[in-house]
Formats: sequence, C-alpha cells, structure tokens
Amino acid sequence: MSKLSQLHKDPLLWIFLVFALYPFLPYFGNFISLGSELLLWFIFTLSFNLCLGQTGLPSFGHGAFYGLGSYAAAITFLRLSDKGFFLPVLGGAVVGCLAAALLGWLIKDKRGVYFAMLTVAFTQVCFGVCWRWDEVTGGEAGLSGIIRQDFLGISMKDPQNFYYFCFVIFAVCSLLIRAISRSCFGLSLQSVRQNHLRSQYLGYPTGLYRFAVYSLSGAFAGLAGALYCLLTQSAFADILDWQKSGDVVMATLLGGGTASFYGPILGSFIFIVCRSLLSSLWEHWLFIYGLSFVIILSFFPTGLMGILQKKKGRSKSS
Amino acid sequence: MSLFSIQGLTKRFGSLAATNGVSVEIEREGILSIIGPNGAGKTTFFNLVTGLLKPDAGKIIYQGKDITGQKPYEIIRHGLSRSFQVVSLFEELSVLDNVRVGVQRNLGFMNRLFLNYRRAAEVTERAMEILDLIGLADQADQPAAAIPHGDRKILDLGLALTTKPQSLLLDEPMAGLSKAERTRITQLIKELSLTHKIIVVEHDMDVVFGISDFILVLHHGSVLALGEPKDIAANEEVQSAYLGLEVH
Repeated sequence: MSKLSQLHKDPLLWIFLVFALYPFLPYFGNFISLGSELLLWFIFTLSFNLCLGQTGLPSFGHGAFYGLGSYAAAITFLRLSDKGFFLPVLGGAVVGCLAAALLGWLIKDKRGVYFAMLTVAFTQVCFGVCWRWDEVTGGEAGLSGIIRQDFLGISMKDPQNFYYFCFVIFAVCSLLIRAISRSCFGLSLQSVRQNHLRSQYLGYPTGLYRFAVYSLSGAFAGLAGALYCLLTQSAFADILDWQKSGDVVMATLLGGGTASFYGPILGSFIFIVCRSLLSSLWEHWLFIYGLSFVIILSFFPTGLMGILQKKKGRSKSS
Repeated sequence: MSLFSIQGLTKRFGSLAATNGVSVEIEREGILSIIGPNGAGKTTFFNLVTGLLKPDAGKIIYQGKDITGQKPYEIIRHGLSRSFQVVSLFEELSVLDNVRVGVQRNLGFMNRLFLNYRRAAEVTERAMEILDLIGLADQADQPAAAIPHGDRKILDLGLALTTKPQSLLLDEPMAGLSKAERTRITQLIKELSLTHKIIVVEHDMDVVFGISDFILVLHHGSVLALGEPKDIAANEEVQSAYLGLEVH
C-alpha cells in the first residue's frame, strides 16, 4: 500500500502521463511524428546512458548501433517475403546488440579516450560501408519504400497509432532500463565506473561487465534505430555520421545523465524540440544550443538534473 | 606446506630492480609484518603478491597453487584479499552500498538484472554484519566521500573483508591516522588475526613490534631478515640498514 501511495512521486509516471496525452496537447499535438521521434530518442539516450552514466563507458560513437538498427529494419522489411511489422523492429534490436557485442569484445579493456575514439572510428567504418555498399544498403540513395504494415490488426500507417506503438515500446524500455540500473547488476556496473581497480579486487571481471552492458545497450539503441526507420519509412547513411553520435552525447550530458536516470530524457527533449522548432525560426539555432551547452556544463558538470538535485538537496537540508 | 611460497620474485623498473630475486616461505599462523627502509621494495613486493603488478621473473605459490600473473579478480578467488594505502572506495556510494558491492559478489547476487540491490535482504544483512564488526554501522547511510579519513581507512579494510578471505594483506593500514585511530585499527587487526592470516606493510615501528608474530625485513629489493620481533630488533644487519650503513 505504501508503495502505491508513493507512486505519484515517480517521475516516470508523470513522463508517461504527458506522453500518453501528447497527441492531444495544444501546439505539440500538431507535430505527431515529432512526438514519435522524441520517444525513440528517449530510448536511444537512455541506452547510451547505461554506458556513460552507469558504467562510465564513453561510447561516443553510439550512433553506429542506432544506424545499423535502422538499416537492419529496412533490409529485413525489404528482403523478407512476409512483410511483417514486428520482425523489422526485432531485427534492429538484434543487429544493434550483435554489432555492439562485436565492438565491445574488442575494446572492453580500453580505457577513457581510447575507448571513445575507437567507438567513433567504428561508427565511421559503418558509415563508409553503408555509403558504398549499393547492393545491400542502397549506397548514397539509401533505402526507401518501407511501409508500416498492420500490427495486431491496427493500422500503423496512421501516425497516431504508430505514435502509441512507440509510446508502449518506450514505456517498456524505460522501465526495463531503470530496473536494470537499480538492480544488483546495476550496482556492479556502478562499481566498475567508480573504481575499476577496487571492483576487480572484490572479484568483478570488469572487462566482462563492460562487454555485457555494451551489448545490452546496443540492443536498445538498435531498437530505437529500427523505430526511426519505420517512422521515416527509409534508411539513410547520414544517421551513421559521427556528428549524430555527438548529438546523443551532448543531449545526455546537458540533461544530466551522470547525475540522474532522467537526465537523458530531459536532454533529448530539449535537443529534439530545439532542433525541430527553433530551427524553423532561426537557422543558426545550433549556435545558441552549443553556447548554452558550454555555459551550463562549465558551471554545472552534472548537467540540468544535477542542478535540480542540488536544489532539492539544499531545500531538504534547510 | 607453507601459506605462501615465493621463489625468485623479481620486478624491474628500468634498470632498478625494486624486487630482486626474493625467495621466502610464509607460514600459516599469526601476523606477519613487512618492513624496510624507504625504497626497500616493500610496496612493489606487496603489489606483486596481490597481483597489481606482474613480476618479470619468479613464482608466487599460495596454498600450493601457482597464482603468478593472475588478475586481481582471479587471485581473490583463492581466499586472498587486500586493502590499499591510499583508500580505494566507491566514492559516490554510501558506506553500506560500498560494502554491498563486495558482499553481493561474494554471495552470487552480482548479475541479478531485476532485483533491486537494496532489496537483496541477504546481502544487506551480511553487509551490516561487516559494518558492525568494523564499527561503522551508525554511518551506513553516509556517502563514502563524506566520512572522516580514519573511518575511510577502516571502510577500505571492511571492503577487503567482503570477499571472505583467509588471508588479509594490508597496505600501510595506519598511514595518516591519529593516535586514537591507530589504537582502534590495531585492535581490529588483532581481532581479525584470530580468524585470518594477516600480512601487513607498515611504517609505524611501535605498531609493527606490538602486533607482529613475524617480521620480514626487505632491503634493496632483497630479503634481509625474517624472524620473530625480538630477533629482528637484535639483528645488527637490520639496525645498520635503517641507519643507512653498509654491513660487510
């Protein structure tokens, strides 16, 4: 009972509530595909933060798994005779997981900037392959002609229905990722981040933990990529550009992924909304975004959620 | 069979042999202190034995098993555990959660994906037992970064206990502590020595001669002497090593 009465304090519940009502919100309701993109960015940045915030892995090329997930969904759809709806989604998650497992195994013992650079290099390799391999990825032209098939008798061509599908996937993923980050396994990951050596002296093979969380994170990123493919009904190499991976890092840090589980959600909300709405007002919006990023992170390294938490801590102690 | 059998252990840093062909048998019982003048190679020797450094030559046999060159997480499986001179904690976690990290590994909970770590009752119970033992139970909810240095030093030792070791290797447990804190840790080490083999590197000679059953003296990376405290105190070579004189 006490657990139920505490439920209203759960930020995720409020986030769910807002996004359940999103299609009916004034103004935002007109941009239904923006809503879908927000939701899958939440999944993407949460998966990224499982690496960065939880385990301390600077996976600065995380866009690779998002992009590969997107291609996997497109190829699954185009090559399979039974053009289902769910199989491409699953395909994205599986390919994201496998790609992350492959890279993760190779670089699980690399530290800091070496790890970061190798993930960026991997993204560039993926970009190069997808840009050139005409027969499979469509090369520069990309892949198009993906149609959202009916799912459980519901027409996914309808943007609102697809939005709610994304919403359900987001709800499940966010609950899963949060449960993992608070679990015994999550504590093991935290120990790896905070003190790699001591963790080893308590019996943790830290490289294996880094590998495991990387693969897991790749699955979620691939899933988000697959949803992006279905949203845009296409797959292009430009989402594999390393700059796109940088967007995820910036959004997560700005929101405060190192301080809070909710940081990535806040950060990607700000980024996507700025990109979609501000950019139509002023083409140099990135200047403002970048400048605020620098200012906020210089004074508050733990990002916006870090500021909120500090305030909360202060009001509690006074 | 001795507890440790160390054979020809050597580690060079450039042209300096910090540990130079050390061979020594360490018995099962009691507290063994490792001493030596500055630069004698105590820390290098200690780090070699606990797997932090890889030796260039030689062997480390622990309870009949060759553990030379094993990774820390492999070494601790044999029942060995160590503390750190510069405290090595999970700074952002609470005191209790620090201990939980070790305990959940020891009890096999570390890979549970969906069990909230605070709800693992068995882990919490064992972690609180350890906090009671080391006297930090009343600070369980404090962040590790926020407690006094003496308590951090004790927590570091507490973490070493979470792996349920038979042998505890303590790296300068008294470093930077006040007199009262030293008494507290000395007491704790004595208590632990009833159930654990203890090997300690320490600078404080009062403590060393107060608690040790055996003393190993290192000098220039080699063994100078091994014996009971009274013999070591009377050993002329040891005396001159500390005074910086060469004995011929």
